[in-house]
Amino acid sequence: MGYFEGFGVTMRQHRLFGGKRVTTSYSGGRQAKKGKIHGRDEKIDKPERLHGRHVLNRYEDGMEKCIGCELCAGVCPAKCIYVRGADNDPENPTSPGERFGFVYEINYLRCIHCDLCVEACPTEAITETKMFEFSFTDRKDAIYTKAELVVDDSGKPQRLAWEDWRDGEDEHTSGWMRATSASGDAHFIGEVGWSNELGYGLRQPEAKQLEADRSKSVRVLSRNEGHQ
Amino acid sequence: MVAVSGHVQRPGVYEIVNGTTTFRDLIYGQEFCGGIRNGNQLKAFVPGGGSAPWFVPDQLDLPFEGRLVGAAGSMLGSGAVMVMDHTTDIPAAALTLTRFYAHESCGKCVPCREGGTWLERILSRVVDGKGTEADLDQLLEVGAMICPGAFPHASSEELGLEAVPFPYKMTTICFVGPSAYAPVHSALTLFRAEFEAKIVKRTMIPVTAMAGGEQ
Amino acid sequence: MTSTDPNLVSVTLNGRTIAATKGELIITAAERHGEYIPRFCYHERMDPVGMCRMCLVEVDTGRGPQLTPSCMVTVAPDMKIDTASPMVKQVQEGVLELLLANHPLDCPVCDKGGECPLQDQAFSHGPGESRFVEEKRHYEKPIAISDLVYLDRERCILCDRCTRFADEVAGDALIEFSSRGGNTQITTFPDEPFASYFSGNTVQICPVGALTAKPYRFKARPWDLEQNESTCTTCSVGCRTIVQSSRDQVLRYQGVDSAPVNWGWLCDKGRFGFESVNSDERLTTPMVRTSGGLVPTSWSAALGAVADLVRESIAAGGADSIAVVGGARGSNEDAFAWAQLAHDVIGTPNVYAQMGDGLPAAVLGLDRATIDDVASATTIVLLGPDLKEELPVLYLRIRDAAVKRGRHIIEFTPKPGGLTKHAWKTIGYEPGTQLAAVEAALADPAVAMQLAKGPVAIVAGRANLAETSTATVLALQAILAAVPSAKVLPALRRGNVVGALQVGVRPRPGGLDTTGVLQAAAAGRIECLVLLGADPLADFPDADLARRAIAGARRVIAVDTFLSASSLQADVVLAASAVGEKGGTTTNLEGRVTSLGRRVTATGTSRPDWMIASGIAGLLGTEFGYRSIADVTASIAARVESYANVTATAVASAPDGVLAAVPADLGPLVPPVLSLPDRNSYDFRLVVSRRLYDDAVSTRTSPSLAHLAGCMTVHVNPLDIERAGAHDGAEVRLSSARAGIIVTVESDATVLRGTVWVPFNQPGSTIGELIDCTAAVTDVRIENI
Repeated sequence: MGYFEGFGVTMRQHRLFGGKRVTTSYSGGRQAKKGKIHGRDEKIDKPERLHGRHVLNRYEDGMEKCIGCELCAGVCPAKCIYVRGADNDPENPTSPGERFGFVYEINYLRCIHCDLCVEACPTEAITETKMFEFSFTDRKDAIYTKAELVVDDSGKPQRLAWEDWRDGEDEHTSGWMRATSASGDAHFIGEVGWSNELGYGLRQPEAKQLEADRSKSVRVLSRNEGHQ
Repeated sequence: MVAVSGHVQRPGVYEIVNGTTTFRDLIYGQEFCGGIRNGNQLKAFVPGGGSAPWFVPDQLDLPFEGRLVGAAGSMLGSGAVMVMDHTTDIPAAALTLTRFYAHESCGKCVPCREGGTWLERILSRVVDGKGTEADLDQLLEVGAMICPGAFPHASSEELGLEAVPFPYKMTTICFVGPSAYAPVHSALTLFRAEFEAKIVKRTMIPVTAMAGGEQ
Repeated sequence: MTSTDPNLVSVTLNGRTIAATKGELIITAAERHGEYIPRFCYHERMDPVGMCRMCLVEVDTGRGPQLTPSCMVTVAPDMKIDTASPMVKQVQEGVLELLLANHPLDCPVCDKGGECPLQDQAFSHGPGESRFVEEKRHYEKPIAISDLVYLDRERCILCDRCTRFADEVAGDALIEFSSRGGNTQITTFPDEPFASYFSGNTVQICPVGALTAKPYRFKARPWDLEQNESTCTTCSVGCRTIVQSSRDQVLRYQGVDSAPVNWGWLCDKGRFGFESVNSDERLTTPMVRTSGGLVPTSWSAALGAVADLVRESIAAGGADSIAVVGGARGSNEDAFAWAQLAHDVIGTPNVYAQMGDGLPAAVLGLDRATIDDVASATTIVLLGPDLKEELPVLYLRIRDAAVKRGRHIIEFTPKPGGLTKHAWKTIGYEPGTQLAAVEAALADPAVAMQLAKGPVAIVAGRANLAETSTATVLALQAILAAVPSAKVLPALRRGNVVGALQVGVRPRPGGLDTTGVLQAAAAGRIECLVLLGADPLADFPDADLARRAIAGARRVIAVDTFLSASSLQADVVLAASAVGEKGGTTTNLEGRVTSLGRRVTATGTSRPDWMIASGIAGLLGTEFGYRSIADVTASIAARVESYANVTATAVASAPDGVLAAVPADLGPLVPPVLSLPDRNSYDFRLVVSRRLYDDAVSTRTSPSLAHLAGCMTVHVNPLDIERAGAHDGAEVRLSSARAGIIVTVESDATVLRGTVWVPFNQPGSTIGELIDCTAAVTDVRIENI
């Protein structure tokens, strides 16, 4: 949403212009305009980039991606992540390489869903779902442990009892991450850096970005030949 | 005294007159090497040991004189002349020399230790027919990390090349690092076509074609 | 330049004229003038090697700009240096790309990630992207090259820092390059680990994560760490350190480059000994003895019990019947508060910080040398313990003076040690004959001429625990008589022993020293014995006397961080805070006062010693009025003459500390008369000294160090073994006039003939049984069993 468009929203909702005080036209971002509530107990469609509850991803062979490096904890502005690494058992490793995330906890009473952890993660182990409908009756329950965060055998987030999951909501576990990442060079839009996917599900580039990319006169060659 | 090896009739150690004997005298003279073996054509020769940039027939009439050889883009070095006839596989010959210097590296300073090994690995890939066009430029770029700036090479009338005179700049402590690069640079500058013949031609795929949106 | 200073050289740096010092390397001159040149192999405390090629700059000396390694070339007049030319940028990017070509980039799981010079300089000077698509070099991931250090050869950039340190600085050339070219790697020699006392320094100076220390491995990420500058109190050298902690746990010590002291180096005992602070065995609460043994109690109950015991003791035997030994472990403030409590509140003169293994406190009144004085003296006279074992970083400084600066060492020793091979002259003596050895040496014209060449510094300490200090003091006086201008550096070992003695933990006139206190206690004349972090049962050379003293004292009060052998026998044990848990100041052997950093919360309810002293004084009716440690520091400055200049502000503003004045009130150095018995030719004269790693509680409770302590064997010269009818590895009976013990023989050519050497306080040690602390020397007999 551009500055002017945003300013327009502000103006429109102002009392002098007959505004309604409530920012309905921006309740949830651009995608929300398209969304509609289908019934009493239906959820509004969420924007693709919505940052929800995290997951810890695994490789296709079941190995965990987290290596316990604590970069997510280091970058977290809310200091809500606690990670401790441990050495992999060479006979029965939890993750490829030397180390794995032994303890992984996120305190959702503190998390501001900024996704800096996702950007910091060198192995794309942590991504976010669109799950935002979860609540607790005990503060301790708000601290998700590794057992709850790690994805199930199919790579999808676990549907925890106190979360309100609907069918299809777990199709994508992260939105358009690379576009905002530090190395998100526009020349590499659509090309996922290390893995074929960020979390669960392959995603299309967003429409406007794809158009912008198509119109570029310079066509940059792939860095990663053989990648499809 | 110079030691001549390679594709000549009579390889050996010869006493020459510094300043007057030319490379033509040495290679073709009957009192010296007696010409190229089997009546073949001279393709290239190394005037002063494996670490020296190469000469081509254009430089045959240069006398053994340090200053003149230096100005022509090489050096007299150890006085070991290596002669290559037209049957020589130039990339393979360059690889032999580079592999030698990469192996000889003492490992003390970084450009020689890492650069020499890297050059050897790229070059052997090219010689094995698994290289790409980008690898050829990569060879020169790795070389520039060992010897930044202009690197000396011989002139070539055929290619329209001007000679770049000695010396070169180097980032290493001693001359082993640049020596690993000298044969690569000479071979690539004077015989690039032979390298290109060895590389795999591939169609480069524009990146947008691989984006998910164009599936 | 208008300056006419002959030591200044005018050079051009990136177009501006700067004044560099003659002989200065380009890299340091440029850095001083604000141009940081990236580097990996260069380290200012070691000789340059020019290996990494990262510091190449363009230097024009009239022949056009040439690529020059700035760490190898010194400034010359009219040199034109360009550190930022396009050529230099290209070279820096090239070298970094080459360095990273085979570097694994496992930064997320690398301990160095976040504080890595390679990472930092790749960001600041690197090309940003690598064109290396080949498979990287692979080696087995970390291999243990010693008990404390792991080597990851994939990460190694072969900068030669660790190998140079081991060879050049530590003198333990146990790691070296092997193979060549792209296969070059660091290795140890076959069957010989990198067992150096200084191995931890290689981890600190490694510019990548190739060397990691076992105690810190994967303990924290750099951005988790909080740090304070502090001083190591493991021994009395007083190395400056940075104490780093995460989640309220001390996790790492790093050396700080303090020019007059440690040059950035630490010994492994100092570096890794912090583990004892985190030990589960730490005392967390005060304890009192009840019918059920020692039971935890509250501070008010414990301090009340102490006050009652003190009052009872004064009533029963007078103030003189109370004695305080120890106090060398804590800070100056701890020592001062206890000296105040003992002398002024209780009124006893029997207070002493040494444990019968040092020299009379009056050596501190001699003209004191600093470490720099010693290192710059033309002649260094060693009359004391093996510095490598007891004061390791002082050993490094003196080794450097001898090896690199051509200083002459004259060593008097009963057992050749670490500095022997660097000594100009080593004079071995049989215990007790120090004076004769010194007199003979002084009569040698070559020695006399050497001593006359320039300043002389004497490092004096106790080389042998199986003899009294008398002979050493006589020898010291003889040297001082011959060279009156000589300065003396006291090689007393315990962390703050010099500070404790100087602020008052020493007998008042008529008071007893530790030996006297223990003798009085053994004779039943001590009503109340206070052990201030002292463990006589383990540390006092005469084990029998220590045992009888602890048993003979009517009441024992221990202030300790652990339940040691002695504090286990106490009536009240007060839990003390350890270093890292408390602030204050400490004094090193030069008299240099530096700050201690408080980094973590004290274990349990433990308190610093000064607070305990102040609490007891309050219960005895005297309020010290100390509300914080700063009050105690101020009180020392106000009340101890030699510390008048040592204010908290002065210490805080001087990174290298403040030198306290030499105390004037210690009295003359008067040794008792030496009555040296003749040695029976069947006997051997016993030499007992310490090793770096022993069974001391702080080592035993540091998991990484505990297993490094050896075991007690008797070292005998190979020629003497035969004479004694034993053989290497045999179990023999070693007996003195006191007792006999069973011990294994170890052949050791460094041991002088006619003597045997036994390390003190190794696990399971019984050597103290043989030592009579009142005997001039101890003669032992080796008998086969």
